[in-house]
Amino acid sequence: MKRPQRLWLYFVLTIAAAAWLLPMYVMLSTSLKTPREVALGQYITPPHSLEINNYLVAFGVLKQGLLNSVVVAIPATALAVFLGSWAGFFLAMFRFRHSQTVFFVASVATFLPYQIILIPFTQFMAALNLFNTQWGLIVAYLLLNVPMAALISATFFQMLPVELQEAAALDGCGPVTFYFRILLPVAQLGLVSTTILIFTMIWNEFLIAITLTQGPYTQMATPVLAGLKGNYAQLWHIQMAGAMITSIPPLIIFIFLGRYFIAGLMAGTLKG
Amino acid sequence: MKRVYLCVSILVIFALFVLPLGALAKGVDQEGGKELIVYHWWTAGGEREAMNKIFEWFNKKNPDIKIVDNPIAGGGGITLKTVLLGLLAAKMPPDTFQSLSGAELKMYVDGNYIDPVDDIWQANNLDTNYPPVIGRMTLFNGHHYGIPMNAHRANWLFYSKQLFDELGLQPPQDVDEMIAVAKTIKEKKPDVAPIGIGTREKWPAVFLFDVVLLSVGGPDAYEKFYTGQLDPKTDPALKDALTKYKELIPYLYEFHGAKTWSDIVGPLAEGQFGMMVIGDFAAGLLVQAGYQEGVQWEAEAFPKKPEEVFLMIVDTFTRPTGAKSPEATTAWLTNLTDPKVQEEFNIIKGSIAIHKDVPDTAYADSLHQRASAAFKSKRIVPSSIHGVLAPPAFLSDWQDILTRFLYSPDIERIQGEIADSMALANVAEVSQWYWAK
Amino acid sequence: MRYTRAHIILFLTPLSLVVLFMYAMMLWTAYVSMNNWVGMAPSWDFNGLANYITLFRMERFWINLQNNILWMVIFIPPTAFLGLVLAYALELSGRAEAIFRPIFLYPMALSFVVTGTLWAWMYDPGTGVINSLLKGVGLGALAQPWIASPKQALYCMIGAAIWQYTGFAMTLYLAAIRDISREIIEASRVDGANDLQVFTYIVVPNVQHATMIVVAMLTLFSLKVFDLVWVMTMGGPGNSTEVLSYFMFVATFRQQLVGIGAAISVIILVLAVLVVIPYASWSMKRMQV
Repeated sequence: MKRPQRLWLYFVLTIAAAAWLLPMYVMLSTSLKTPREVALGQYITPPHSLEINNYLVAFGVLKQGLLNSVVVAIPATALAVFLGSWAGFFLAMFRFRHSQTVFFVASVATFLPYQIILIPFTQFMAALNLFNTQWGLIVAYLLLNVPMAALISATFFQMLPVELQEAAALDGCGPVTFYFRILLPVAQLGLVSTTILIFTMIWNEFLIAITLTQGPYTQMATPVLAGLKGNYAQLWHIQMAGAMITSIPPLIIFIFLGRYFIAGLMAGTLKG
Repeated sequence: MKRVYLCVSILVIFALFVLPLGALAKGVDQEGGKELIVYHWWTAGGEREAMNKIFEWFNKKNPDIKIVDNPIAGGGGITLKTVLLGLLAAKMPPDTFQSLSGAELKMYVDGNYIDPVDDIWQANNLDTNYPPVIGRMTLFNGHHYGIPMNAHRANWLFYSKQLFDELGLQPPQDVDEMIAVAKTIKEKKPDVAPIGIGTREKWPAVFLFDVVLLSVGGPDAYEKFYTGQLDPKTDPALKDALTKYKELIPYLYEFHGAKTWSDIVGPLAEGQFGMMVIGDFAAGLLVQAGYQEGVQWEAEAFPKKPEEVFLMIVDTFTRPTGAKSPEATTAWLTNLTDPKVQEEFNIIKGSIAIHKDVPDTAYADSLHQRASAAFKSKRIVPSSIHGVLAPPAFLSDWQDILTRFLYSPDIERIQGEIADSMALANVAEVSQWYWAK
Repeated sequence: MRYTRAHIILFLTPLSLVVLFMYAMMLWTAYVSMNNWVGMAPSWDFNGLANYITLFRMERFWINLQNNILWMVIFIPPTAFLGLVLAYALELSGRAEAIFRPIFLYPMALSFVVTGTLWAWMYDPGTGVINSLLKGVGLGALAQPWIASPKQALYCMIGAAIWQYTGFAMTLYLAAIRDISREIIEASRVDGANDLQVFTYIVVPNVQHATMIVVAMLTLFSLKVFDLVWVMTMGGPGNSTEVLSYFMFVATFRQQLVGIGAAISVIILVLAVLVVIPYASWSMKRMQV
């Protein structure tokens, strides 16, 4: 059957796409303009010359924050994904008494806004001497993300073929061996998606970062960006360069590993 | 065999789980020579250089003590407070930290986090070398708890020299004149906002209100208001001040909610705003940006009627309870009382020294010379918000109440809001320290 | 595969400890909310519901709660609707989907801090992008104060959030549309249904479960929104864009009214529980865990 031409469709999609890209375009082009060009207010015109210097200035301010973000996000993600998938695997593969309860209780904990535990959390970190340290941030993000990682990975593991389990059982292989030998290699889609999602969330997170750390030595990139402002006027070109730099890791992930990102996003809603 | 495997795995998993927690000990027992751990919020530009000056002097006097510097950005120390909350609660006090005076300092005293500094106060004769009001701002339960070393003046009226010259205007001396001047500007130059203000950070709304209250009620009413001695619902001076404040609103920069004070000063010097009430720290930014005093901008104390006062902001350093190197703390605080150190520090910082031995002529620019002279001759009144005259819990609310008022100026409603907030923060009782003899 | 009780302990202990820890922290918050804790050091001075009564008597609390509700009412329907329309358009567009889909979804990868910084500038009344664009095309009369106006700022912020979250709704709807059986759609085409009719009579009724997910997720987002408020307006002008989680942060860490801050947390918790518990049981049923 010949489909109708649907010119209207492409018209609508193109207009919407232009609207969706405009902010990004403005951000990118402004980050490459001189303050003078920005002051003229012609935002649509491309920059006359590429002011790479804006990026150097913004990077100079952000570099410690970026480093801190890396130092915190990578171990926190790795540990959260490992411990989460460890439990997620068991929840997805086996039925036992209370397995539903565990799952339910964990998913409620995942979805509740974490603001509600911010006060005791701060006290807890202070009591452990972890306040304002990178270790503190790692512990905080680990704790917050283990339940999330468990749920997401369980969602993925559920989709694995039952035959895999049956074959393993025939070989007399126990759960631990199964997890390391079979699941880790086979369930890559799930594990990579979980990792990517959790890494992005930690990288982009703001509230915990601003509550648990202060000051130039321990602060992550997002609070530094939020505080990036000119000394006596708003330096939009520098701010936009800073915003671009901070967005590079998640955007790279999105562009090159978009499939996993989306899969993780969907699993994160418990969409079965 | 299988069982062993299982046990090993259990151990590994648990080891992984507690690994991050195991790192707790990090940073707790640092050995080494004598150290002085300092927390402060002077991180950028002139402030940073000024702090380095103090470090220089300290190192000269105490070559064996190493300074461990912890600068934490955030105007008025708002973020530093959060850090200290953690450190002090965790019983990891630094050797000294910065605090504003007054109610802010009292917070640490009430938490039993800092020790008195009476010995340093006596030894350096601060009762005679510092103005009495400074002593009053650091004195709680009969003891001094902080060593102040610089003062900012909050009640300056900055104005665009070019604009005022062009329109033949004189800087106003009280709020009625201010309204008149604003009206003239608005009539003759409709494109210029007569009064520049930025309330994205909300405290400048309080700065503006403070000078209105001083102009209407004088310093006595001002002090009484912020210490909860007036009834906000019935007091006539407060009501008058609110009425005048309301009259100012049509002359304010209309997009003030999206700007901070520092966004305003540059355009002010360019003549895009007529005038602005802000502290002397604005002068530093203006000079840095290449605008000259007496050419593009000028500043006058405000209000001059009924009485010109010095509305004061003071920074102090403290002696935390249980600090690791008490001698280093003492050396640090003693260094701060040295008039020579104060002089060099304040010239760079853009504030004025508190020690009476620093002459007015030490400062290069007229604004700070005049500030220094006023500090010695005029009545000194602590600024409400950075002074700190009122309890922080009230001040945070107060900024919100005032900014809200700028958008819907209902005097009866704001009186009620003030009364409620003062009751909630228990202002009258908490501010007793100010009136204690 | 056989497993023993030791395996259950081995696999579930880490998760259980974390989850128990989180629930313990919630109880702790609830207990703090019943204490008159003011200042930096913990003070255990039990005062029952006094903090809640204080809150309920504060105009600011009601403004904040109202803003959270406005978030839900104004943020969720357009995001869901736009997401659904775009998903349907993508589904119809065939191969062009590969080009358009990332364009609508990329904002989801950005931090709210980035979104906030960017949109704060888009909306700046003086030199901002939107007003400059309007002036550029001769529509200067339509220029608005945007985030400098207490009446518009909240809606501006919601606009930025719609920009960021539409792709998320779109992806969920796209998956749901793909789950609709081909035959139904083809059959209706043969009967002469046009695109709009297919959308109204087949797509909309068959994506209800995606709507559940979208609404639940966006409601939770509306309850915890904090970063955008912080970066774009600091709650201003006045209190006009403050929400509960912002108030909670300010009350606790700025005003040091920790008891009050905990009470706000508990209120956020109660509101969130109303969504989370039904949602979690609903999705568990669907997943047949």
